[in-house]
Order: sequence, then structure tokens, then C-alpha cells
Amino acid sequence: MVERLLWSPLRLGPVTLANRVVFSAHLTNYATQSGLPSDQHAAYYAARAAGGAGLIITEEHSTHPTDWPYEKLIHGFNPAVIAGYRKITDAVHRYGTPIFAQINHNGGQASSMFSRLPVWAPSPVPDPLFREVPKAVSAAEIAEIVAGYATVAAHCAEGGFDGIELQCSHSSIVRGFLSPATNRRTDGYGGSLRNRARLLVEIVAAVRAEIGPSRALGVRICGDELIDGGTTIEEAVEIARIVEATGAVDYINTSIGVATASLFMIEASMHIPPGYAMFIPSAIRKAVDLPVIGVGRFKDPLQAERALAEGHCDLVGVVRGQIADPDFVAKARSGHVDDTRLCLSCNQECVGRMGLNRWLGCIENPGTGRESQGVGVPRSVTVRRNVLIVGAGPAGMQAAVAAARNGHCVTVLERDAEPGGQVRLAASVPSRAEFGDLVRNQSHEARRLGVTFEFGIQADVAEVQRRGADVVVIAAGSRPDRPWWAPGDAEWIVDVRRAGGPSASRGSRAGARRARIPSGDVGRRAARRPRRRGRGGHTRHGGRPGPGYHPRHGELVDPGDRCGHRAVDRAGADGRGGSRGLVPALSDRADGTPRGRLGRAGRAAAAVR
Amino acid sequence: MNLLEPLGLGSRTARNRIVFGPHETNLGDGRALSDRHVAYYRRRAAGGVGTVVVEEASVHGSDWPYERAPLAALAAPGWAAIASACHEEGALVIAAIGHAGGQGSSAYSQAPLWAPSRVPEVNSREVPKAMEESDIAAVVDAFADAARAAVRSGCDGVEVNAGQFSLVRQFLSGLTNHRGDEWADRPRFAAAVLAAVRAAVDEVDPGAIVGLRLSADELAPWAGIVPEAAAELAAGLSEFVSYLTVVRGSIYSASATRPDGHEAPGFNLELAASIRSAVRAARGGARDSGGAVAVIAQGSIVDVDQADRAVHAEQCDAVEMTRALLADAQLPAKFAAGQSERIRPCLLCNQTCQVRDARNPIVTCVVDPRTGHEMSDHDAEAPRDSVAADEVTVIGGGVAGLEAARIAALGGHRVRLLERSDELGGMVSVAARGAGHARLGLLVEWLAAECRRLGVDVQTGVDVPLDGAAGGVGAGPVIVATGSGCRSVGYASTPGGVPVSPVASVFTAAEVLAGAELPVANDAGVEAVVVWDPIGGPIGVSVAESLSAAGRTVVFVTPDQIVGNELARSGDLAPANNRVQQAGIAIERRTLLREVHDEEVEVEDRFSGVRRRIGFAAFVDAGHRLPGDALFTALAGTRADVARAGDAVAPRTIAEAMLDGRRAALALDGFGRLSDGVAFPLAAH
Repeated sequence: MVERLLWSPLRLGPVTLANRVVFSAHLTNYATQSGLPSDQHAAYYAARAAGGAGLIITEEHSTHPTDWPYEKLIHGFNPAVIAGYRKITDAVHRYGTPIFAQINHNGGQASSMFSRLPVWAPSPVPDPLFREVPKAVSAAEIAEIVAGYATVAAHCAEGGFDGIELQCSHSSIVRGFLSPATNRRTDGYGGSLRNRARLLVEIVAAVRAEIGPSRALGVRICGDELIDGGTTIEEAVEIARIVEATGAVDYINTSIGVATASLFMIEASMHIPPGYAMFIPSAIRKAVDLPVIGVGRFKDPLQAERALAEGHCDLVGVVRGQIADPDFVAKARSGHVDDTRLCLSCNQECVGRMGLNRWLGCIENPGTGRESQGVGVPRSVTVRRNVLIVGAGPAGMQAAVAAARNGHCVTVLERDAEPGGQVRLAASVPSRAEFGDLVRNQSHEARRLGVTFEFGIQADVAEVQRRGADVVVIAAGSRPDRPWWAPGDAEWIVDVRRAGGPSASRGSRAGARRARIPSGDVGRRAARRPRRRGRGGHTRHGGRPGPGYHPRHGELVDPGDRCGHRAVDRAGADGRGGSRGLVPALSDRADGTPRGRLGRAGRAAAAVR
Repeated sequence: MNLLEPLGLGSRTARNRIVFGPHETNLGDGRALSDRHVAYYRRRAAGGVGTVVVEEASVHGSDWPYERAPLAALAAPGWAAIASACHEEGALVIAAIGHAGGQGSSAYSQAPLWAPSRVPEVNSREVPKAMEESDIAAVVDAFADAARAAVRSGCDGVEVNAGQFSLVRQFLSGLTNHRGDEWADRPRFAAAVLAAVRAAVDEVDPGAIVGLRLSADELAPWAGIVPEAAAELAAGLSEFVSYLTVVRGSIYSASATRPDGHEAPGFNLELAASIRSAVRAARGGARDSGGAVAVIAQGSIVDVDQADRAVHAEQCDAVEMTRALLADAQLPAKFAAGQSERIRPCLLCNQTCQVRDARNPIVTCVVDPRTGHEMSDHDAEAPRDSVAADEVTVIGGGVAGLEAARIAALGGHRVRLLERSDELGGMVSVAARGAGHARLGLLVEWLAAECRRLGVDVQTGVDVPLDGAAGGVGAGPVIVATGSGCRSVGYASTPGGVPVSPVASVFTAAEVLAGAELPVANDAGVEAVVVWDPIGGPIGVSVAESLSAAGRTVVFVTPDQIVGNELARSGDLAPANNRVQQAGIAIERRTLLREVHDEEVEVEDRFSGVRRRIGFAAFVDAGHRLPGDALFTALAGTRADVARAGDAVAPRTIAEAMLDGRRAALALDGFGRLSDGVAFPLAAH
């Protein structure tokens, strides 16, 4: 066991943690329609406690009825939550794991759609996502906000939580007050940092008075809002000093970005290198004596250990790693780190579903989000069957893992020389290599469970019948569907799996210059790839607006790439498919203006469905 | 024939020809119909509607198109409660049943979508599973089971959905049915479903109603259903049904079925008339019971006179007036009483009633905030015992002030309304002058007329000074609804705002809509008007269209990837982009405003950070505004009984102004408490 620091205990005020791995706060959309915590909450957190997490911090609990930015927010101000809190804390305490509640008011980062009340904020500055002008709160309303935090802290204490975390970081009225970008007040709550921090200091005092000395209190601070005129690290360090000077706080948690304007940096995708936000806890830890939590794409325990060893932080927040594998800690601690189901930071089912008001899941772990229904729990079978699976893509391998875990005898036939199917393609484009971890995770787990793989086998009916399996699972993937306008023999139309690869330049006479693709992820990357290789990339995709991106973030297609927004493929002038001379023409979806043709001269490698 | 004549449907008779059509509400309790549904439908039945069609229930577990989509297997108790409530009020109740097929969502079920063929749905872009023979049989059976359960629960019948979002239409259409088997005979599936439903209904009650909602024009003539084919189809399927509701639209035209006010009301009437003729010709006007197959028209019909004329002209036999009934549940009663002018108008704004949205907003209405909230909101229009009738002063004659005055007057108070300008309506009247928004003015007219009717003393041209005294703000309670003011450009984007040259020709959207004269060209001869729209709502687009229609060259600058980013909610996103593009308006997407120079703006690409300049003759700021709260602040410093409402709290939309105004008036009678002048309902936690 090389991770000496990571597995060492640490005290946060009155609470002692067994190790340094924190399952820190994140939205789940598991709350009920009426804003109460659910059995799924309890099962979800309990699974991570069982897996060895040192500390669990729940998702936010709203402190006031004016705060209801998304439907499935826990209404901490409603006393009816306490029964649900008890279920959560009892389930987690069964494993001896401490659990804190994060309490918050989202302030201006909200709309009135659900609350039907004006949005409250320091100043009438609309959030760039919600775009609703908030009401500037009065002195009496500030007192009401502070009282709301105290009330909810009392509910949490009564519900059995071991501590409270104040989210003052990425989506919070406290952040709104702290940030010069959103606080334009001229009273005692605006202007100097001391004034902007006044609400925070008042809340700390009120919450501490409510919970007493037997529970921990933490404050989560944003280290860089990544917005014009917003909080940066220098001021964040000063805020940390103010927090420490209250003498009422036991630890500091950190984050980066604002949930609405710079969300992409809070839960960075696989494009952003792990440890990208380490500068924040590192700077804060130098300035204060309180324990500091660092977050930001901790993929594995070695990386986490290094962050502790180098003195960047005292604790590491591992959220997605434990969403993907609840046993992240237990596996590493017992020397089985290779068995960990590594998170890909694909963000598809965790982050991606949150804004869509859907419950949190994981593309790799079908049990995530359905712990309370027992999904993913191995069943012991009475009859051990021979299971034959055709195809070693993600579906085939998941079927193999599930069947083998239940005790069946599993064989996988794969046509290619290696597993992974189309996931290998996804992993082959720039900045998407971590998709390859899915192939690694699945094939490692399958082999560990004794699954037999046979590669290079083209399974047909005779082959399958010859093997006489009890159960056959077909997971043979998909095949290209040529567009209706494609001439049958046009070699310049290639499948996306070949576009940009070595075969593409051979397959098309003039190399891959342009690709017409749907606006999905693989398509976008594929269009980008030739450019990286020094060819002109030209993406044409349906123009669905993407999430907010930021100039400091290099996520989207390179600015130099020309994007054919809203372009629709139209048949050539004769309007018929099939002729050898047919050249796809593109026209604008809005006004029908021709937007150019994929000319013979360019001889595009095009059109993939 | 007129709108108020009874209509025979099966063995039932609807008391009139006004129908509350099926629509998504998000009122459900999970996938079950809820008490909120019951209250919602009861209120419409009590208002005199002839027939209520309940929100569609999915007939089969393979269909879960939106989170709160009712499921037939869980719907029986709700159907029974709704039927009982509406029957008490004299309305017929029909249960809509359907399956969204490839237009559903796999997000909730985590199972493949079922569709006739593997045609990716154009909006979700998800490839569905082509239904196997057993899947088809299961869905046909499920339709029969759902119909049986609905009629057993006391509903008067069922309506099968072959409209815009439906598996049945997907089988009927060449766009989505590419099968090579017997189901390639496109009407076959619809006929199988209707035959099974008819048989199931007949088992329980042979006189019960079977209706069909049919997309008679998919607006995709290359392979979709066209009106001529639909007429033939309708005639062929009419043997199973008592009525046909004619709709239009499909996968390529999601916004065409229930468009906003940019589309002329009654746009579907000709289509309905053609289907009606075809069905009557084919059926000779006779069904086994002797009644004709009724054809129900739909499509932005919100005006009772238009509906009445359509029935009179035999374009249709009945009319769905769904949105009009959201705006005024009492519409049929008022029409029957000869008080058409008292019907609260639907603005066709679609801002809060179109709730096919992942966030699950509750259906409601900008002009009647109680819609959808029948269980929780006090009935502001019911008689109430005001503790002591007061003399109430409302300052500001925008919609917040007018609604506050109206509700206060309904509560028995003596109300005086003081408006600074010569015109009522505030920003709504201004917005109504913009392209495509004329209907907004109907709300102002209606509120003003109701205030007059209720004896509100409306005084225009009265400016109340900050101390309130000279304007004669009396001893009684005061409601301040003084609206909003403009702010410096870019107030929200950086602490210092965007630097603006003092000599630049800068206008607010409101000034432009109010008729400000814009310079024709700058010194360099540039004639363009730059419109900066950081909101993405209806106003920026409307201003740009208005300027373009007046012959100006317009450059539309938006930080978003698309014009009118927030218009998805109202269904105007794609149409707005079409209109703007076709008007020749230049669009600068994903662009931030950095500085307004004398005659050009400096903008920045959001992704690349590249800056450049765009010259202008005039610069129009269509951004957010600041609350006009000076009078409130001044008065609140001297007395406690001052409330405020609408943009004076925070500049938002008509919906919030109406809600604030109503609540401020209710708070006078103890139905709410004030926080910094804002009325909070007592029901909130």
C-alpha cells in the first residue's frame, strides 16, 4: 500500500475521518417531486460509505422558499425533510462513515419558474443562464436568509448529520455577495471584501450557534469564477482567511467556476487534465491552518496521494470516481487498484443528465442511480449456464461481466482482434483517449471473472449453433447506413469509422477534406481530426446550440474550422439519388440559401450516418 | 348551427361545441393523474365547456415520452375522479390515449424507442428499434386495454392519438414507415388500433365515444401525409369513430401544431373543412347510431366569434379552444351569457402553457396565474369578505398595476389607479407594437375594461412625486407598480458596465418600439442598426424584425449560438430564426459586446476571443432593465402599508407582473404577507 497519506485519518473539528477521500457534494435529482430526500439518496450514499469513502457530503439543501432553481432540489427549510435525513444518516452511519449536509441558497442563479417568487440576489444582475433579473434583497431579507441557514442547520442536526457545509462557491447567494461581478450594493454588504463577506460571516456565526461544538462546519469557496470581473484566487485566499478568522469553521472546501457561466470547468470533461484546479487549494492551504479539500478530476488513488504529498491539499474530493465505482477506496486500500472501474469524465449520465432534470447515473455503471432498486447487485444462480456472447463492444462486455458475476460460464466471440468495438474509435480522436478506459475497465473485469474471449471469430449461425450454448446474446453492433442520396459506388463516401484514419486518405482520391456529419460527439471530433493532421477540416452539422463555452476553454471545434450551421443536405440539381455524377449540395435550413456543394474538386470524404 | 348547440357524440350529447383538448400539463403525481388534474379539469367544466379531453396517457410501458406522462395502467383512479368531477359540472370527459413511438424518450425508461422503422427521430436524433410483430400486437392490445379501463372508469370515451407526437401517425406516414412487411400498408396499424379500441369500448358501453386525433398535413410533402391523402385516410378510418380532430404537423414541424401568435388564429380551418367534406361524402353522413362523424377543428382558435363562425359555416362541427380555456376557464359561460367582451383573452404567447420541457414546468397562463395552480392559489376572482373596505391607491397602469387594481376592486375596495403617461399598459403596450406581438395589447384592453366595469378610478397623466403627497396618495394602502427603467448597457456583464461613447446613438428596445427616430446613417455612411440581445427572448427578435420591416439594415448580435435562444419554450425558436434569416437580418452569433464606440461596436467571439468592430448608424440595447423602485423606496420609508408589484420589484415578464399584481391585491385582505413590499402567498412553506 503506497498511499500512506491518503489512508491516514484526519480530524475536522469534532469529527474524525478514517481516510482523506471525500465524496463531495453534487446534484443527483433523486429528491421527490415535493422536495423531500428519497430512499434512493440513502442507498446511493450508503453504497459509497460501504465502499470506504472517508467522508460523504450530500447534495445541497435549500435554505429558503425563494430558492428553487431546479425541480428536484431538497427543500431543507421544510421540516418534513427530517425523516428522510434520518434514513440517509442511519444508512451511512452503519458503515461508520461521517456524513455532512451541504446547505445553500442559490441566489440569483435561479429562475422563479418553480418558486413563483422573485429571485433573491445582492443586486439586480441577471444570471447569464437563467436570464431573470433578481430582486435585490433588503436588510430584513438578508436577516431572513441568515435565519434560513440556521433553521436548515437545525433540521440537519436533528436528522443526524455530523456536520454542515456552506456552499459559497459556484451557485450560491453567498458567492453572489462575495463576487464583485454580481454584488453592486452600496450598503454594508457591498464594496470592500470585508463588506461582501459580511453575509458569509453572519451565516457562519448563526449556523455554528445552531449546531454547537459537536458537529463540524465547513465552507466551500470558489477559487476562480472564470467570469469577467469575478472572484479570482487572490481574493479567494483572502476569503479563506476571513473564514478562518471566525474561529467557527473546521475546514475549507474548494471549487472552480460558476455553475451557470462557467459550468464546464466545475465538472471538467476528459479534455481538461486531471488536477487542473489544484492551484486553488494549494494557494489557500498556504494561507490558512484549516484543513483544505482539493477537487478536480481525481481519477486514481496515486494521483490523489501525490496531491497530498506535494502539500496541495489535506483531503481530495473524488466524486465521479466514486459515482463510477462506489468501491474506489476499498479496492485501492486492499491493493486491488487495478479492479477499479475508472471514471472516464465523459459526463454523459452524471453531469449531462442534471441539467435535463433526470436522475444521476453512470454510463459505465448501470447500478448508479438505482441502488435502491438493487440494480447491479450480483444474484447467486442455481443453474450455471453456458452463455455465448457475440461481440466484445461495451454491450457485449457488460453482458459478459453481469453474467459471469452471477456465476455463469461466459464466452465472448469478437470479429476484431481486440475488444471495445466503436468505443475504440471514440477513444482514438484527440482529447477522447479516456474512453479507452471503458474498454480497459470492462475487459479487465471480465477476465477477472473468468470470461473467455475468442478474437478474430466471425460468428454466423452455424458457428453459434456449433457451440451449443444455453443462452446466446447478440451484441454485434451496428453497420453504416448509407445516406439515401449516396450513389452506390461512390468511394468518396466513407463511414465515420474510417474518416480521418489511414484508410480514409486511401479510400478517397484527394484525402479527407470535408465531412458531413450529424452534430454528435464522434462526428465533431472526426471532423476535427484531419485538421490536426494538417488537412483542412470542415464540419457540417445540424446547428443545435451547445452549452455555454468560454474563451478560456478550448473545447469546441477550433475557431479556424468553418462550421456549416443549419446546413441540410439536398440532392444534386436533378433531385435524384444514384447517379455517379451526383454531388451533394447544402442549403440553409432557415431560408433555403444554397450553402455550397461538396465539389468533385474537393472530392470530399463525406456523409456518415 | 352555432357554437352553443349541443353535439351528439356516440350515445352522448355534449352541451355545446367547445372542447378542451388534450395537452401536457406536468400536473401528474409521477405517472398517475393527480388531484391537481381533477381541480384543473373541474374548473374548466364548471366554466361551461362541453367536452374535456384529459391529458394523453401512454397505453404501454414501452412509452415514456416525458417524465410526468400519464400511464394508462396507473390512470384509472384519476380518470374516475376527473369524470366524476366534470360530470357534476355537466361536461363530457374523454380520455386521450396514445403512444409516442420514436418521438418518445429513452431517458426515463432506459429502453429502446419503438417505431415502425429504424428512422432516427429528427429532433432527438435517436435511432429507434423497428417494432417486431409481437411488439405491434402488444401495443394494439394495450390500446384496447387502456380504452376499456378509461370507459370503465366512467369516461365517456377515448381519443386515439394519430397527431403530431404519435406512433399511429408514424405508421401512417411515408416519412417514418419504411417497413417491408404487411405493415407497409400504412393505414393498417391505425385501423388495427381503432378496431381493437372500438371493440374494447363496445364491451363496456356500446354508446361510448371513440375519437381520432389525426395529423392531416405533416408539412413534409415529399413523403409525409398531405391533405388529399389525409381526406381519404380519414374517410377510411371514420367507420370506427364518432369524431375526428384535425391537426397538422409532425417530426419536421414540431412548432406548427401549436404555434404562437405569429401564426394566424384558425390556420387549420380550411384543412378541417376539407376533411369534413371528405368524411361526409364517404359516410353519407351516417354512423350506425344514425349520427354523423363530427369533425373538430383546432389550431390557435382562441376567439369565440371565430369559433362560432366556423361552426356556422360548417367548416367543422366543434372547436378545440384549449389555450383560450387556459386564459379564461369561464369562456363558455361568458359567451353563453352574451358577455364575449368579458372573456379574458389568450395572447397566443405560449410562454407558460407549452410545458413539453425537461424541467417539468407546471402548465399555467400568463393572464391567469391560477391556471394549473387551482389547488394552491386563492381564487382571486371569487367573492371575499374584505375585513374593512379601504381606499386603495395603485400607482402605475402597466399590467401589474391594472391587475392589482382589478383584484382589489373585486375584493370590495375603492380603488384609484394613477398612471404617469397618457396610455395604460406600460411595457406591454410598448411590446405590443413590435412585429408579431399585436395580441399582447388585448390584455391591456381587457384589464382596462374590467377596471372600468368594476368602478376603478383610472387617472392617466398623473405623475406622483417621490414624497407621494402632491399626487394625493391617500391614507389607505398603496400598491406601487411603477415598472422598470433602462440601465447602462452591459450593467450585468461587468462591474463597470460596457464602456459607451457619450456621442454614440444608443437606444433601448423600448424606445425603438415606442417609435424613436433612429439616425439614417452615421458619418461614414453606415446605415446598419446593431441590435444587442443578451436575453434571447421575444423582444430582441421583435425589435430586429420591426426595424427590418421598416426598411433598416439590421445586424443582430447575440451571445448565443442561435437567435432567440429562450424561444424554445414558446415554440417560436425555429420560426423566429426562419423569419430573421428571410428578412435578411445579419446575425452575429456567440458574440459578446465589449465596447460601444462613437459609430461602431467592439465585439468578441465567445470561443476564440477574437475582437472586431461593427459600424452602426444606431445601436439598440435589447438587454435587461432595472427596477423603477424609487417611488416605492421613498414611500416605504414613511409608511408600512406600501406594496409593490411587477417590474418595480424586478423587471421580468408579463407572467410575473400579473402574479405580483394579483398577490399584492390579495395581501390587502390578509391572503399573503409583505416582504420588502413583495406579497408572498401564505401557502408557501
